[in-house]
Amino acid sequence: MVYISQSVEVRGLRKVFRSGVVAVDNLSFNVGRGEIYGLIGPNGSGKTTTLRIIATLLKPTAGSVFVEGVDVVKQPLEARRLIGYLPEEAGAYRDLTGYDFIKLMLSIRFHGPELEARIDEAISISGLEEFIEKPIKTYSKGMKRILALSVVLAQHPRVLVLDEPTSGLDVEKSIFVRDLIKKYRSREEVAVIVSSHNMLEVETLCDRVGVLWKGRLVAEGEPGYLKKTFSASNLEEVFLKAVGSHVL
Amino acid sequence: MSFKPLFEREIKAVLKNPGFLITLILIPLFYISLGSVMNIGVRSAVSQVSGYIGVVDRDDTPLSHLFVYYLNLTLDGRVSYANGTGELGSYSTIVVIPRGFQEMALNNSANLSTLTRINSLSLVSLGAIPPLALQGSFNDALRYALASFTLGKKIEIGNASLNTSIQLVYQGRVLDYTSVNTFVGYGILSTFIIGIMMSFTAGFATSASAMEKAEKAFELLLSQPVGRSRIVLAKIAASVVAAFIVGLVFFASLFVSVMHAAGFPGGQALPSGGAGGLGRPQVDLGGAVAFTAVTVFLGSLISGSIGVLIGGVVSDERTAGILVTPIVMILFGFTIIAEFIGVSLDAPTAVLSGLTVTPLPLLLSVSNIVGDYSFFYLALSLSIVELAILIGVAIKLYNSEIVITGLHLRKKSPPAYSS
Repeated sequence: MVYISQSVEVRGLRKVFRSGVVAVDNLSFNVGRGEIYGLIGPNGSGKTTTLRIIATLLKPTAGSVFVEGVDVVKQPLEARRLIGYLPEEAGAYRDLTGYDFIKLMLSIRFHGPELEARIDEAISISGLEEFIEKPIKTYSKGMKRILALSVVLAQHPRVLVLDEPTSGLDVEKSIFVRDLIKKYRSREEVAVIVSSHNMLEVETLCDRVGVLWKGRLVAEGEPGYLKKTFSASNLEEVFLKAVGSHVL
Repeated sequence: MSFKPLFEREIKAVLKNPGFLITLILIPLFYISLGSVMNIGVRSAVSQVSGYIGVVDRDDTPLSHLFVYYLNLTLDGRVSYANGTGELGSYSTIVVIPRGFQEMALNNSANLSTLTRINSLSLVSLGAIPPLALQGSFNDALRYALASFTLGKKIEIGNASLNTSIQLVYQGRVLDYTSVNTFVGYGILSTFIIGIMMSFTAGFATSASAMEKAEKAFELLLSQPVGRSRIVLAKIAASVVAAFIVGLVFFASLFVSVMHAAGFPGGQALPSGGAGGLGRPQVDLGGAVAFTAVTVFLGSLISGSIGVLIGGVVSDERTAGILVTPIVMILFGFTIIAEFIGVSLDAPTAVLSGLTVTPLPLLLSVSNIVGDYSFFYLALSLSIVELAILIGVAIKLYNSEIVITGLHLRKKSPPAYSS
């Protein structure tokens, strides 16, 4: 697949926390429009920190991130208008109903008839019409996650940043979420960055994959290319071999 | 544009908080009970008598001599003659017997005036000044003196009493007791109200932010294209509104409490201007009320900002609760201190009052009494500056990554890498 231009450009990204922990170290990658890019790696490899920097929640120690040409450090508000970010284990306000939560989040970006249309769209995406007037505290974890994702998708962002979108969900809900992401990518031609522990999910969902280990990108490419390069039958083997070569 | 939905969301979060609802129930129960306790405290203060009494006898008549003689007997030898009011430093109170005392006493219309040294304008010190407690002794001494003076003559002495004009000396100024009592009572009540309101606001603001993190909705909100300043201001404003709702319940409960406290056994009421009573206001309190409203609002905004700051740096409700508790205790501590020891008109007190806000109404009352507002304005200016700084710091904090990562005061020994 050939991409006309890059939607997300990450260059020489480095993040050192005040505690001295190096979370991300000289990380560079691009994500094209209409592409789903997967970040995989073990706990502590820097996936969440990278996504938080892209989503403007953290500031990098060095390096740069551009989203549709917008510098996320220098123009964070502008960047947030372009990004739809689903944090890891994202929940929703327990005291609100599903409808109120959708309305609250979408009213930050939209007003008037457009807001109403986006609310209807989010409800339709979520498939939670039956429960939408019920308090979120009665929702299951999967329902909360789908509710949050539907809000993000109804915002029609140019870049989707999804941190472990199916983490903790059952198979049915995981498939539902993956289908949502694919459908949205096809319809809107947006760039999607997904982090996950689930190698199978990444292999079936992502066009390209970046393997992170100790904050560094140790391998990158299409799943087929990576499997061929590392003589592996699946991404789990790719990951182990890629990390193993760096350990040695 | 996007402030309204944020503000509404914050309001809903507070109103649906069980802690908030329980607070609304507990406050009336607590303060109605407190009324009975206050009743005991007021009666205890009335019974206080202390210090030596100097008498300036300007009448210098047989009756005035007899009055001083019996007053000394009544007060166990604590009364002696003074040459003038200038000797107030040697006595706690000086009683001035005016010229014409004997003639007025025989016509049952005698007057006395008293001058009492007072070191602080607190409710406790005002309630314990000797002239209040000695009114009965003055009357008894007058009746004994009249009986002795008119021996052999038929005279009605059973209801003989004295009208006592009480004046206080504070920082070299002679002040009318009733006015002082009115202002100080008002100031202390307002101080207490501000302490309560600030505590509520700090608690609500902290829990609102901490709950948002616990619900895992915080990052989703911060990633939206809305200025962090709006998020901060919405949280502070919602906390102030919630505190004012609680404040209304508080006022209503306090009113019931005061009514309860005012009912003495047997239906006996305190004498006008007596200890513990506020006396009849003889001064215009309009300005004081307006300034107090400003300080209540200011205090709520300051404590709301502190609460938002705490909520921003902690990662769970429990830590938030733990951190906000000492602040509440400090606010109440200053309220109680102000009630017991009062405030002085000096720069350190003004700075402390400005920074903690709770003593501001009492400082205003004292400024009203003395007629010097410079220290009150200094304190008020400091409060406004403090509010601006706190809001600025809160906005800066919410623009920083500490709201995401949390503030780690203790350095852990972390793994080499972290996600």
